[in-house]
Amino acid sequence: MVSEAISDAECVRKLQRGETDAFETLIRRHQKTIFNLVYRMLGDYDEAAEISQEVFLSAYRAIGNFRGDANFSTWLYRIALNHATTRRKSLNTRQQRSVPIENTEPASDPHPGPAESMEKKEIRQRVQQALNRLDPDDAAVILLRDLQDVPYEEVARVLEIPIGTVKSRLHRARLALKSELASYFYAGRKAV
Amino acid sequence: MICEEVKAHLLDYLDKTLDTPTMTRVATHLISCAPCGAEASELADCIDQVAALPALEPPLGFAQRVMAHVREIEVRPSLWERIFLPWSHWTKKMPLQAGALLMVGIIGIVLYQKDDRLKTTEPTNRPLSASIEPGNASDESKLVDSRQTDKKKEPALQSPIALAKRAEPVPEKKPLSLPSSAPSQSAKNEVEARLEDTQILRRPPIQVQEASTMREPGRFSGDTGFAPPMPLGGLRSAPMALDRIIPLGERVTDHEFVVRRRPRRDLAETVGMDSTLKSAETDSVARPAASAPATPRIESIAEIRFYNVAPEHFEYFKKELASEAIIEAESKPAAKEKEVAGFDRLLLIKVTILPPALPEPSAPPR
Repeated sequence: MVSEAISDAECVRKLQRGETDAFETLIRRHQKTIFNLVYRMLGDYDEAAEISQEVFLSAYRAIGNFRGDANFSTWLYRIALNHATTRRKSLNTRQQRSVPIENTEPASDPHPGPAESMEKKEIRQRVQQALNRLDPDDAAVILLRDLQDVPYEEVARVLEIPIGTVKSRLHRARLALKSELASYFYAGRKAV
Repeated sequence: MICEEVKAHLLDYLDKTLDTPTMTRVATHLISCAPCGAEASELADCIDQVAALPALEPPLGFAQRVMAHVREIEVRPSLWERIFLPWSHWTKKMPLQAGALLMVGIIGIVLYQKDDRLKTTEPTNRPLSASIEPGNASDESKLVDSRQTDKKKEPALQSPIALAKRAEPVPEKKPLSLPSSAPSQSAKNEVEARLEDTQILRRPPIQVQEASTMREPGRFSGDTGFAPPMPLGGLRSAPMALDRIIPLGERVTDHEFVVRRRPRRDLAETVGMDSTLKSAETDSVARPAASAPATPRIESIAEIRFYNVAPEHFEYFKKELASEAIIEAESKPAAKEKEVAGFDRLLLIKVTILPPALPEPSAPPR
């Protein structure tokens, strides 16, 4: 087992030298981030698990092409978004995205109160439904910036677009998400 | 600050990336302007809702499962890698490509050889029925040409026995074709027969040794009426002193005699003429003559002898012959033969010996 203290770049070098165990370190380090990104892109836990596995396997196969110009996480985000976007398009085409989010959303707080738990769960479901209805590029930029808290520069590298484009796309995506959530969050507020 | 300017800075305001004076101005406008304030509040709420989404844990054993697949990939190279592996890996791990190349090579060699074989056998591997098909004049002419070629090779293989057999009528060959090609076969046989005759006529004379018809002295059988070889000191029988090579088809003798044996009354009376006739019939020398048209003289031919006689002894030989038998006929050599013969060699004399004349039948007693 490779030490958890070494950097991603060192793990990548070891992996490129043939030390397969270094890849396990990278998996353990990034699995949660990648899984959550894919899950929020797809809205299905099992699909997210399968696609996340494909993301890491693709990264392992293509590790020889990784030159180290960017962070390994940036490179991995790009692979994950490509896989998720492709999967999301195919799911939309086949109209198979009918799995209720209620059944796939695990509880995050182990000890919530009954009323608070129901309200939070409903809010999460609404937000996830709104994300699922967004354009994949818009959803990607929101998830990277607002969920993963990725810096603009890195988002620009992941999406391979300029920073200005990232900002304008992010603002447009937030407005779209607000429109999606308006019927639930802000209808009562306007009525008041 | 107007609403448009606030909307332009709203993203940075929510991200808290504006400088302090601008942040203050924007915040002042948002408090004073209800629509701008509501929009900013809703956007901030959206950001908070997304950020508040819980981080889910991946499935248990996710990393191990991925690593298991990674080790599978290590053991089993991808199809792309298998195709483009170096040669050493080819032969060790994946001999499919090497086998495919080998098979292509073998198939190529087989096809190449098969093509050559076809080219070689095409002219001669035709069916017999096609070669003798009626109306196929070119094929028939080729067949005749090939047979003529074979006939030209034939004389070199001839032997005296085969030559003797040639005199016999040629047995009709069995037809080689199907019954449907019978007319063509008959025409072909006719062509063959003509070719046979032509070849016989064109065949050059074969140099063979003289076929002797002479019996050795003292070994006469049946013909008791003829004395043992003539006691001529200067005469030798031809087989014993054959010094010339004479073409069989052009048997040239310097002199020919037809003689008749003198009868011996006592032997004729005791043995009778049946045995003489029987011996004459069984004589192999007389056999060809027996098949000739039946004339009294030829049928009674008993023996033919050849003698080599020195030219200076010819008259003496003739006298001796006349003393032993009755000379019934004598042929003189042609002038050309005389020139050819000259005086530097022995004369070849053919003596046809006829059996003794039968006694006159006595008149039946009345």
